[in-house]
Amino acid sequence: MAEFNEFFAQGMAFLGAGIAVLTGFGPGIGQGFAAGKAVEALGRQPEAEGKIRALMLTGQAVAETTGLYGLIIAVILIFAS
Amino acid sequence: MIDFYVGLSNGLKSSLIITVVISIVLIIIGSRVKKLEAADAPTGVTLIAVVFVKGMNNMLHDFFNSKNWKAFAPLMITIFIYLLFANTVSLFGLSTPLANISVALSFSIFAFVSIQVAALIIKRPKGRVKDLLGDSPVLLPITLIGEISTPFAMGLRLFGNLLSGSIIGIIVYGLSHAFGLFVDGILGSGALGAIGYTLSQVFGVGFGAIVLHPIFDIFFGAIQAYVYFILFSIFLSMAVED
Repeated sequence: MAEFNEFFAQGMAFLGAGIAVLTGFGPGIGQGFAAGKAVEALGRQPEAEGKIRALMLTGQAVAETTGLYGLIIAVILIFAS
Repeated sequence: MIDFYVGLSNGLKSSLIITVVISIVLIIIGSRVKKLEAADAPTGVTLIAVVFVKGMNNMLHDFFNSKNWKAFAPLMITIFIYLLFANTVSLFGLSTPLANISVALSFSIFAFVSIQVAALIIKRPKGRVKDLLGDSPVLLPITLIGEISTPFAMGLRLFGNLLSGSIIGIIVYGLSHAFGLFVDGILGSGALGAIGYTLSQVFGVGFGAIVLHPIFDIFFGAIQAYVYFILFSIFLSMAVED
Protein backbone atom coordinates (compact mmCIF):
# COMPACT_ATOMS: atom_id res chain seq x y z
CA MET A 1 0.00 0.00 0.00
CA ALA A 2 1.52 3.25 -1.11
CA GLU A 3 1.80 5.99 1.45
CA PHE A 4 0.33 9.33 0.56
CA ASN A 5 3.22 11.39 1.88
CA GLU A 6 4.71 14.69 0.72
CA PHE A 7 6.79 13.02 -1.99
CA PHE A 8 3.66 11.50 -3.46
CA ALA A 9 2.01 14.93 -3.49
CA GLN A 10 5.06 16.53 -5.11
CA GLY A 11 5.26 13.83 -7.77
CA MET A 12 1.59 14.29 -8.55
CA ALA A 13 2.19 18.06 -8.83
CA PHE A 14 4.96 17.41 -11.36
CA LEU A 15 2.69 15.04 -13.32
CA GLY A 16 0.02 17.72 -13.30
CA ALA A 17 2.53 20.27 -14.58
CA GLY A 18 3.38 17.91 -17.43
CA ILE A 19 -0.29 17.52 -18.31
CA ALA A 20 -0.87 21.28 -18.06
CA VAL A 21 1.73 22.14 -20.70
CA LEU A 22 -0.10 19.88 -23.17
CA THR A 23 -2.16 23.03 -23.84
CA GLY A 24 0.75 23.92 -26.12
CA PHE A 25 -0.93 21.85 -28.86
CA GLY A 26 -3.71 24.37 -29.38
CA PRO A 27 -1.63 27.53 -29.89
CA GLY A 28 0.79 25.54 -32.05
CA ILE A 29 -1.97 24.55 -34.44
CA GLY A 30 -3.52 28.02 -34.33
CA GLN A 31 -0.28 29.88 -34.96
CA GLY A 32 0.67 27.56 -37.78
CA PHE A 33 -2.73 28.11 -39.34
CA ALA A 34 -2.32 31.89 -39.05
CA ALA A 35 1.15 31.73 -40.64
CA GLY A 36 -0.15 29.57 -43.49
CA LYS A 37 -3.00 31.95 -44.17
CA ALA A 38 -0.55 34.87 -44.08
CA VAL A 39 1.56 33.15 -46.74
CA GLU A 40 -1.58 32.66 -48.86
CA ALA A 41 -2.47 36.34 -48.47
CA LEU A 42 1.08 37.29 -49.37
CA GLY A 43 0.86 35.20 -52.54
CA ARG A 44 -2.28 37.03 -53.49
CA GLN A 45 -1.09 40.53 -52.56
CA PRO A 46 2.71 40.75 -52.32
CA GLU A 47 2.63 44.54 -51.97
CA ALA A 48 0.85 44.34 -48.58
CA GLU A 49 3.71 42.46 -46.93
CA GLY A 50 4.26 44.79 -43.98
CA LYS A 51 0.60 44.95 -43.02
CA ILE A 52 0.16 41.19 -43.32
CA ARG A 53 3.20 40.53 -41.15
CA ALA A 54 2.05 42.91 -38.43
CA LEU A 55 -1.46 41.43 -38.43
CA MET A 56 -0.12 37.88 -38.36
CA LEU A 57 2.20 38.57 -35.43
CA THR A 58 -0.55 40.31 -33.46
CA GLY A 59 -3.00 37.48 -34.06
CA GLN A 60 -0.43 34.87 -33.14
CA ALA A 61 0.47 36.70 -29.95
CA VAL A 62 -3.20 36.74 -28.96
CA ALA A 63 -3.66 33.07 -29.89
CA GLU A 64 -0.70 32.23 -27.68
CA THR A 65 -2.65 33.16 -24.54
CA THR A 66 -4.27 29.77 -23.92
CA GLY A 67 -0.91 28.05 -24.08
CA LEU A 68 0.51 30.60 -21.66
CA TYR A 69 -2.26 29.82 -19.17
CA GLY A 70 -1.18 26.19 -19.23
CA LEU A 71 2.43 27.25 -18.75
CA ILE A 72 1.55 29.50 -15.81
CA ILE A 73 -0.40 26.67 -14.15
CA ALA A 74 2.56 24.32 -14.68
CA VAL A 75 4.96 26.85 -13.15
CA ILE A 76 2.65 27.35 -10.18
CA LEU A 77 2.38 23.58 -9.70
CA ILE A 78 6.16 23.14 -9.80
CA PHE A 79 7.35 26.11 -7.77
CA ALA A 80 4.47 26.79 -5.40
CA SER A 81 3.67 23.24 -4.28
CA MET B 1 13.87 54.84 2.39
CA ILE B 2 16.88 52.65 1.56
CA ASP B 3 15.46 49.84 3.72
CA PHE B 4 12.23 49.97 1.77
CA TYR B 5 14.12 49.68 -1.53
CA VAL B 6 16.39 46.85 -0.40
CA GLY B 7 13.45 44.81 0.83
CA LEU B 8 11.74 44.79 -2.56
CA SER B 9 11.96 41.87 -4.94
CA ASN B 10 14.15 42.12 -8.05
CA GLY B 11 11.29 42.78 -10.46
CA LEU B 12 9.93 45.69 -8.40
CA LYS B 13 13.42 47.14 -8.01
CA SER B 14 14.06 47.16 -11.74
CA SER B 15 10.57 48.52 -12.35
CA LEU B 16 11.38 51.50 -10.11
CA ILE B 17 14.75 52.01 -11.83
CA ILE B 18 13.13 51.93 -15.28
CA THR B 19 10.46 54.39 -14.20
CA VAL B 20 13.05 56.88 -12.94
CA VAL B 21 15.33 56.51 -15.98
CA ILE B 22 12.47 56.86 -18.47
CA SER B 23 11.10 59.89 -16.61
CA ILE B 24 14.45 61.67 -16.70
CA VAL B 25 15.14 60.83 -20.36
CA LEU B 26 11.65 61.82 -21.49
CA ILE B 27 11.78 65.10 -19.54
CA ILE B 28 15.10 65.98 -21.20
CA ILE B 29 13.80 65.08 -24.69
CA GLY B 30 10.53 66.91 -24.05
CA SER B 31 12.27 70.10 -22.96
CA ARG B 32 14.41 69.92 -26.11
CA VAL B 33 11.36 69.47 -28.32
CA LYS B 34 9.64 72.35 -26.55
CA LYS B 35 12.54 74.68 -27.36
CA LEU B 36 12.09 74.07 -31.10
CA GLU B 37 10.62 76.89 -33.13
CA ALA B 38 8.03 76.12 -35.78
CA ALA B 39 10.56 76.78 -38.55
CA ASP B 40 13.36 74.62 -37.06
CA ALA B 41 14.05 71.20 -38.49
CA PRO B 42 14.47 68.70 -35.62
CA THR B 43 17.71 66.71 -35.63
CA GLY B 44 19.06 63.69 -33.81
CA VAL B 45 17.14 62.56 -30.75
CA THR B 46 14.40 65.14 -31.16
CA LEU B 47 13.81 63.96 -34.73
CA ILE B 48 13.41 60.37 -33.55
CA ALA B 49 11.04 61.49 -30.77
CA VAL B 50 8.92 63.59 -33.11
CA VAL B 51 8.67 60.85 -35.75
CA PHE B 52 7.87 58.23 -33.11
CA VAL B 53 5.10 60.28 -31.50
CA LYS B 54 3.66 61.13 -34.90
CA GLY B 55 3.59 57.49 -35.96
CA MET B 56 1.91 56.42 -32.74
CA ASN B 57 -0.63 59.22 -33.07
CA ASN B 58 -1.49 58.05 -36.58
CA MET B 59 -1.92 54.49 -35.34
CA LEU B 60 -4.19 55.61 -32.49
CA HIS B 61 -6.13 57.77 -34.89
CA ASP B 62 -7.11 54.63 -36.80
CA PHE B 63 -8.49 52.87 -33.71
CA PHE B 64 -10.71 55.68 -32.46
CA ASN B 65 -13.15 57.04 -35.00
CA SER B 66 -13.89 60.23 -33.07
CA LYS B 67 -11.78 62.92 -31.40
CA ASN B 68 -11.30 60.85 -28.26
CA TRP B 69 -7.90 59.59 -29.32
CA LYS B 70 -6.32 62.92 -28.39
CA ALA B 71 -7.18 62.43 -24.74
CA PHE B 72 -5.76 58.92 -24.59
CA ALA B 73 -2.67 59.24 -26.79
CA PRO B 74 -0.24 60.39 -24.02
CA LEU B 75 -1.36 57.57 -21.73
CA MET B 76 -1.07 54.85 -24.35
CA ILE B 77 2.30 56.03 -25.70
CA THR B 78 3.74 56.24 -22.18
CA ILE B 79 2.57 52.70 -21.44
CA PHE B 80 4.06 51.49 -24.72
CA ILE B 81 7.43 53.11 -24.02
CA TYR B 82 7.50 51.69 -20.51
CA LEU B 83 6.68 48.18 -21.73
CA LEU B 84 9.21 48.39 -24.54
CA PHE B 85 12.00 49.21 -22.10
CA ALA B 86 10.77 46.93 -19.34
CA ASN B 87 10.64 43.89 -21.64
CA THR B 88 14.12 44.41 -23.04
CA VAL B 89 15.79 45.54 -19.82
CA SER B 90 17.31 42.14 -19.07
CA LEU B 91 19.88 42.95 -21.77
CA PHE B 92 21.27 45.54 -19.35
CA GLY B 93 21.56 43.20 -16.40
CA LEU B 94 18.35 44.04 -14.57
CA SER B 95 15.67 41.41 -14.06
CA THR B 96 12.51 41.79 -16.14
CA PRO B 97 9.78 43.55 -14.14
CA LEU B 98 6.94 41.84 -16.00
CA ALA B 99 8.20 38.40 -14.94
CA ASN B 100 6.96 39.42 -11.48
CA ILE B 101 3.28 38.61 -10.99
CA SER B 102 2.70 41.78 -8.93
CA VAL B 103 3.86 44.05 -11.75
CA ALA B 104 1.94 42.06 -14.39
CA LEU B 105 -1.32 42.11 -12.43
CA SER B 106 -0.90 45.81 -11.67
CA PHE B 107 -0.90 46.29 -15.44
CA SER B 108 -4.21 44.37 -15.52
CA ILE B 109 -5.64 46.59 -12.79
CA PHE B 110 -4.37 49.66 -14.58
CA ALA B 111 -6.06 48.63 -17.84
CA PHE B 112 -9.31 47.75 -16.06
CA VAL B 113 -9.51 51.00 -14.08
CA SER B 114 -8.58 53.24 -17.00
CA ILE B 115 -11.10 51.57 -19.32
CA GLN B 116 -13.93 51.82 -16.78
CA VAL B 117 -13.13 55.39 -15.71
CA ALA B 118 -12.80 56.57 -19.31
CA ALA B 119 -16.11 54.96 -20.25
CA LEU B 120 -17.84 56.45 -17.20
CA ILE B 121 -16.51 59.94 -17.95
CA ILE B 122 -17.16 59.95 -21.69
CA LYS B 123 -20.46 58.06 -21.88
CA ARG B 124 -21.79 59.17 -18.46
CA PRO B 125 -22.99 56.48 -15.96
CA LYS B 126 -26.37 56.28 -17.68
CA GLY B 127 -24.96 55.50 -21.11
CA ARG B 128 -22.48 53.07 -19.58
CA VAL B 129 -25.24 51.09 -17.88
CA LYS B 130 -27.19 51.05 -21.15
CA ASP B 131 -24.09 49.77 -22.92
CA LEU B 132 -23.54 47.00 -20.39
CA LEU B 133 -27.18 45.89 -20.47
CA GLY B 134 -27.16 45.67 -24.24
CA ASP B 135 -30.23 44.19 -25.88
CA SER B 136 -31.39 42.02 -23.02
CA PRO B 137 -30.37 41.92 -19.33
CA VAL B 138 -29.98 38.13 -19.52
CA LEU B 139 -26.49 38.54 -20.95
CA LEU B 140 -25.40 40.95 -18.19
CA PRO B 141 -23.34 38.40 -16.17
CA ILE B 142 -21.43 37.37 -19.29
CA THR B 143 -20.74 41.01 -20.16
CA LEU B 144 -19.47 41.69 -16.64
CA ILE B 145 -17.20 38.64 -16.76
CA GLY B 146 -15.88 39.88 -20.10
CA GLU B 147 -15.19 43.32 -18.65
CA ILE B 148 -13.06 41.77 -15.89
CA SER B 149 -11.43 38.93 -17.79
CA THR B 150 -10.03 40.87 -20.74
CA PRO B 151 -7.71 43.15 -18.68
CA PHE B 152 -6.81 40.14 -16.53
CA ALA B 153 -5.83 38.20 -19.67
CA MET B 154 -3.77 41.15 -20.91
CA GLY B 155 -1.67 41.15 -17.72
CA LEU B 156 -1.33 37.38 -17.62
CA ARG B 157 -0.22 37.32 -21.27
CA LEU B 158 2.67 39.67 -20.48
CA PHE B 159 3.51 37.68 -17.36
CA GLY B 160 3.54 34.31 -19.13
CA ASN B 161 5.68 35.46 -22.03
CA LEU B 162 8.31 37.20 -19.95
CA LEU B 163 8.34 34.44 -17.31
CA SER B 164 8.84 31.72 -19.92
CA GLY B 165 11.74 33.66 -21.42
CA SER B 166 13.48 34.06 -18.07
CA ILE B 167 12.86 30.41 -17.11
CA ILE B 168 14.44 29.17 -20.35
CA GLY B 169 17.40 31.49 -19.75
CA ILE B 170 17.82 30.11 -16.21
CA ILE B 171 17.63 26.53 -17.55
CA VAL B 172 20.29 27.09 -20.24
CA TYR B 173 22.71 28.96 -17.99
CA GLY B 174 22.19 26.51 -15.14
CA LEU B 175 22.71 23.58 -17.51
CA SER B 176 25.98 24.99 -18.86
CA HIS B 177 27.20 25.45 -15.28
CA ALA B 178 26.14 21.91 -14.26
CA PHE B 179 27.67 20.38 -17.39
CA GLY B 180 30.90 22.32 -16.74
CA LEU B 181 31.07 20.89 -13.21
CA PHE B 182 30.41 17.41 -14.64
CA VAL B 183 33.28 17.78 -17.17
CA ASP B 184 35.48 19.16 -14.42
CA GLY B 185 34.75 16.07 -12.31
CA ILE B 186 35.64 13.71 -15.15
CA LEU B 187 38.86 15.44 -16.25
CA GLY B 188 40.14 15.98 -12.72
CA SER B 189 40.85 19.24 -10.97
CA GLY B 190 43.93 20.15 -13.04
CA ALA B 191 44.25 22.52 -15.96
CA LEU B 192 42.21 20.18 -18.24
CA GLY B 193 39.22 20.34 -15.92
CA ALA B 194 39.38 24.11 -15.77
CA ILE B 195 39.52 24.30 -19.57
CA GLY B 196 36.52 21.96 -19.89
CA TYR B 197 34.51 23.99 -17.39
CA THR B 198 35.38 27.23 -19.18
CA LEU B 199 34.45 25.79 -22.59
CA SER B 200 31.07 24.62 -21.31
CA GLN B 201 30.36 28.04 -19.79
CA VAL B 202 31.45 29.78 -23.01
CA PHE B 203 29.09 27.61 -25.05
CA GLY B 204 26.23 28.29 -22.64
CA VAL B 205 26.76 32.05 -22.59
CA GLY B 206 27.30 32.16 -26.35
CA PHE B 207 24.07 30.28 -26.97
CA GLY B 208 22.30 32.67 -24.64
CA ALA B 209 23.79 35.73 -26.30
CA ILE B 210 23.15 34.60 -29.87
CA VAL B 211 19.82 32.77 -29.59
CA LEU B 212 18.03 33.34 -26.29
CA HIS B 213 18.33 37.06 -25.66
CA PRO B 214 17.53 38.20 -29.22
CA ILE B 215 14.44 35.94 -29.35
CA PHE B 216 13.04 36.14 -25.85
CA ASP B 217 14.09 39.65 -24.84
CA ILE B 218 14.07 41.74 -27.99
CA PHE B 219 11.61 39.96 -30.32
CA PHE B 220 9.01 38.60 -27.88
CA GLY B 221 9.38 41.60 -25.57
CA ALA B 222 8.76 44.11 -28.34
CA ILE B 223 5.87 42.07 -29.76
CA GLN B 224 4.21 41.75 -26.36
CA ALA B 225 4.57 45.49 -25.74
CA TYR B 226 2.96 46.13 -29.14
CA VAL B 227 0.16 43.62 -28.49
CA TYR B 228 -0.61 45.14 -25.08
CA PHE B 229 -0.72 48.57 -26.69
CA ILE B 230 -3.03 47.38 -29.53
CA LEU B 231 -5.40 45.47 -27.24
CA PHE B 232 -5.53 48.33 -24.77
CA SER B 233 -6.44 50.81 -27.50
CA ILE B 234 -9.04 48.45 -29.04
CA PHE B 235 -10.81 47.75 -25.74
CA LEU B 236 -10.64 51.42 -24.77
CA SER B 237 -12.14 52.48 -28.10
CA MET B 238 -14.84 49.79 -27.78
CA ALA B 239 -15.74 51.07 -24.32
CA VAL B 240 -15.84 54.79 -25.09
CA GLU B 241 -17.44 54.76 -28.55
CA ASP B 242 -20.81 53.74 -29.89
